[in-house]
Amino acid sequence: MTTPTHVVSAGADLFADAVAAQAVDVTRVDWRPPLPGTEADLAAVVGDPRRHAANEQAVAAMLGVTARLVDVAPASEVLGLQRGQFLHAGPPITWDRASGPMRGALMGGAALEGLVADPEEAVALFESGSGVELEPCHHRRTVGPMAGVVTPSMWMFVLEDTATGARTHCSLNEGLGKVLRYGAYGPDVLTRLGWMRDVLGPLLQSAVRSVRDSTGPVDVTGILTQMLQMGDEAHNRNRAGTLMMLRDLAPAMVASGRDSTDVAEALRFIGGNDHFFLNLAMPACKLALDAARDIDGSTMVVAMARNGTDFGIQVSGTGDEWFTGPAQVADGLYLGDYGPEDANPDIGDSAITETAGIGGFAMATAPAIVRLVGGSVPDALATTRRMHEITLEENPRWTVPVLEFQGVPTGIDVTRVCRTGILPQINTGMAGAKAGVGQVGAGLVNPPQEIFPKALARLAERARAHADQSD
Amino acid sequence: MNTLSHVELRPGAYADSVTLLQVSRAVQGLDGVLAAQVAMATGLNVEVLTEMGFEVPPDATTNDLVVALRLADASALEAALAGVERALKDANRRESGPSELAAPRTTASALRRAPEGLALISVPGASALVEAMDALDAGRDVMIFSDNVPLDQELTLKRTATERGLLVMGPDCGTAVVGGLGLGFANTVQPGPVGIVAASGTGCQQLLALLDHAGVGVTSALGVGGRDLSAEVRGLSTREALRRLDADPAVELIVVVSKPPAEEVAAELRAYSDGLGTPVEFALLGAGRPDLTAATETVLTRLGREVPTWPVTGTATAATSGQFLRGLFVGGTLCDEAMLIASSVLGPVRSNIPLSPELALGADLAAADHTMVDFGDDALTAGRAHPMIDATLRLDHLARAAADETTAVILLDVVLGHGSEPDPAALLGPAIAAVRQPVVVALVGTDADPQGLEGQVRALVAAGAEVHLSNAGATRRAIELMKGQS
Amino acid sequence: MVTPARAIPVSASPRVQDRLAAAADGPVRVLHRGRHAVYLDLDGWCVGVVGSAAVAVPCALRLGASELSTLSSASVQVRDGILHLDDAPLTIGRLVEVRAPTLRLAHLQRSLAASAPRPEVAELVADVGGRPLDPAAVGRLVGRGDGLTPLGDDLLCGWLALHRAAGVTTPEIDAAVLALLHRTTLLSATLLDCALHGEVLPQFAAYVAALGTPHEPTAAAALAAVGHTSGAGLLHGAHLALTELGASIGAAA
Repeated sequence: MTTPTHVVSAGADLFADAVAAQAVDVTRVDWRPPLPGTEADLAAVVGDPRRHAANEQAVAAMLGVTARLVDVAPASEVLGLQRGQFLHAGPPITWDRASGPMRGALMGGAALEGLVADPEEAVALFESGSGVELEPCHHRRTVGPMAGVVTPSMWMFVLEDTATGARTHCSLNEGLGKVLRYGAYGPDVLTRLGWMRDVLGPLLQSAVRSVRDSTGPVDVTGILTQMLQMGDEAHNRNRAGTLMMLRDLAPAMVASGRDSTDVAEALRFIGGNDHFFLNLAMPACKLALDAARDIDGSTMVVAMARNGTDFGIQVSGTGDEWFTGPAQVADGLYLGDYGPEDANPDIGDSAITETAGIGGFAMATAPAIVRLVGGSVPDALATTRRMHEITLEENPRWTVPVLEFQGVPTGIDVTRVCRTGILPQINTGMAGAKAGVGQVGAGLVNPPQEIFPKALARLAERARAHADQSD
Repeated sequence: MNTLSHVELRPGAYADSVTLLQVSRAVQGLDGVLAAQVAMATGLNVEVLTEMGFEVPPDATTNDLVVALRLADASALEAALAGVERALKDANRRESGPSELAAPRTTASALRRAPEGLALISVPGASALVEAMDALDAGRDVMIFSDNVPLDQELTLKRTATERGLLVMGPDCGTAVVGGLGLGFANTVQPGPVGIVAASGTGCQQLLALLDHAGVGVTSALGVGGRDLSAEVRGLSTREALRRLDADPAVELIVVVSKPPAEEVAAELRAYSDGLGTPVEFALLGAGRPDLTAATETVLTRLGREVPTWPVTGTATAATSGQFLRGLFVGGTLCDEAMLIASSVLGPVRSNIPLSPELALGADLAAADHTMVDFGDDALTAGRAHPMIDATLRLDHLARAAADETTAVILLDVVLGHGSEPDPAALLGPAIAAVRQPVVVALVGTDADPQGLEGQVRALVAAGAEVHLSNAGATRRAIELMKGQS
Repeated sequence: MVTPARAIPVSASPRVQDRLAAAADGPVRVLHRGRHAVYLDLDGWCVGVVGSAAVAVPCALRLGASELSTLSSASVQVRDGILHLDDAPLTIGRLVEVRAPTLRLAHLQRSLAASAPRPEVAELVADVGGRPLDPAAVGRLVGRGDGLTPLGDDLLCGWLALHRAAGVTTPEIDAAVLALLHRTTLLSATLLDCALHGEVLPQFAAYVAALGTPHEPTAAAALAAVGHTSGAGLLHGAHLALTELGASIGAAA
């Protein structure tokens, strides 16, 4: 056997020292004990003979998806959403446990659909529970930012993976300030939502279809690739993405034959909302991750989502089960006079961007974002590097120039989170805890640690059951 | 005396046992500190602490770091605690590599940074499978020094490795030499025509030392872990190791060193070896079989090389009192070999790794009988540094054996090489000089070992020991010195 | 209190270790300094100290991959058989095999890949090839060429080392070489001495191991790429030896 040119040493420094003393390069692992109580489950899951291939398959499936914008249509049509049905961000939740912004958004949604005349009346409606149903967006192949409330009359972006025909959806972004997704439900909010339903939605549909049928549907994955090289990370910073999308759709919007005042209003609306592209970035990420679902033995996280009360993850090898814990309050900078006591716990399906390796995971590519969240540039680089410790692969399409075009950290591995104690890093906006207040700040947040050992335990059960069957 | 005892628990703080050994030593040297121990709260360490007179809180777990100090008086506490912090920080300081790049946190992440090379795992046994599997997933060979790895996990690793044509050296593999690079406790050897497959660390090291003295080089010595040739594992790693050595053009003769495997495993092994292009010599250490030195002589003869007279330096005088031979070993196989030789002449020998269950020693390791103790056994190293690094426990028992009037002759092994104590003769010498009984030492090492073989021999001889390169030779000599006493 | 300089771990062949152990204490003359290597005169035998980017000559102490900056040191001396660079001891932590692997000529069934020698090499080969090497040819090769290792020496090294690998002694040629070592650089003379013992560069050892296998053309190319013309010289020296020993070169496979 030839002399090794390199040794990786995990454990006692003394053995690494001995290798170095023999003039061979050694890399020392900074090993620490895993999260308490996870040792046995880790051995069971890592020892599962299906795991390695299952994870390779999951990553390949995810990286093989190209998301294209094929349509814009009402939720009643594309999701079969019926009167009284409400989708929301995060894992399943009931009205009684919902936080301020979530309640506010549901109340506004109820008024929008005409279930009540005044949003305030919706409280009694939801408390009674009669004639209303709440369901996570994720359960209907949809994602929603912040409260993420979807009602039947809302127009949805429809993204498709042409290879498989699989689809995901997301509503249109209302803009900043007092908006439904932050739990505001005043007359301005409802008026704007009405305009989006009557003018913006149909106009976008026309443009999207026209582009689709002429030069081919807008390649959202491709826009994400370019955005990441332009200082966007697709969660808190979507400016370049929004402008590129506008560039792709504007001519068709103008040529749609609709009233030029409406077209101008729509262009101004989109152009003035730096977060418009978020509602395309999110379903593009979900489309990629959905392709990796339900692979036996895979330890890859396929969804991270918050409903303002709970933070939940879903894992490829454990089907639709949600592993939940308390949503945390972000740590960052506050707008105006707001402070930590004003902030609601973490909310929104937008953590799907981090799940796909962008957002907080790609912080190194968007150093400008760190000032917004109160960090420094070295922090941004260190964060992306740290996320590589808990992911399976690097994304060959989405790369970070300042890290020598290293691909973004892709495929969060439950076992690696439990082994290292490193939690996924999310960049997020903060909603005011009182419904209707709107955004109070932006910052950094993690999932609650406990959900990863929970997911690991279920994976371990399945690994042991599989081992028993094979014996 | 106003002595003050201070015991504190630090949950979640962690450092490996060797690092904590260094920290404890540093703290013991501070002004006003009468006694100190900084260790993880494993069962064994708690026992040690209790014996030292410290009260360890009953809810302490193995994930807690214990800082125990005995001070001359209370005024020394603050400085002593500051000293503890300093020592912990110093011990944990790593040389920083390229700025901004933090050290990798898993073997997987480290291997991504290294385009080739193998992994060496010495984390606690319960976490060894996870790190080792990282190596196999990256298509690399792995050496697992860690012990206390469950059998089913060993099987999982070795089955995976077999599927992928990779080699798992271990678990519980203390020694390997891969193309001249020593891993774990290994010696610096000349390159040459011998390849070794070893289910035993110190057995391998004895071979390396004897061959090196005979001027015969070793290309590689691949450890397979103590359980590889069991009926359950059936030699999965042994087979792969044989394949690798057979394929190496520099290897002209392969030696397999092990305890005798289960019959069906032995038969399979011989059949497999017969199918190889390279001749294989089996050195299976057991009752009625050749010892390691005899096996080495056979290897030399098969290679057409001269068998030297194995070196002996210094002269011990015959025992004048006591009836029992007491062996204190750091190498398990060396202890085994000594026991096999001694029992056939002197009768039953008691041990913590006895040749049969009724000869087992109690926890105090003492008996009114011949005794041979392996201080490297799992039970004595849980949460504690191996005796090849930390001589404390053996030195303690050496003093007890010398004070015991029934002790006639003392037999010790000293194993040199990478990873081992840098100057064992300096620690043992004074202890040996204080012993009135004859002391025979088996000093296993090569000329090029970092400790400096020659200097170690001289120092031990100066302390009054008779020093042999051959453990079998040392054992026979110790028995000879017993004549008339037992 | 003098802080001892940090030891620098190196690997070396047993013969290099022996020569150092036998060397007298005192300063050592530096023959040549490069970016990744320094060559020293150790009592009439050349010892190199080479980083991982340098050619791994068999008469060298080899640094581990990451060390290289220490080579621009001011003082070089031997103390107690250990080489010191600016008071930092180069401790030999590992012994390396530098001899080419055994070559079983009888098993060499495939014919060797032919490759057109470079012009400088072709000239030499034309001069001495076509008939078995004799002492007169040796006289025309030793020291012939420019640089630290003249091309004629490289050719001879390849020829000698291949014979050693094949287990064939060459007493006449050996004597002729030894008699002329004073005619060339100390480094080259040392490399010839190494070749007489079968000690070679890793690329040469790999080439010998690859003979008769599908890997051979790649190994030959890797050897030829070493240095400016040294590798090509070694390769064609080996070819000359193989031809003499009966293997066929360039014939259709």
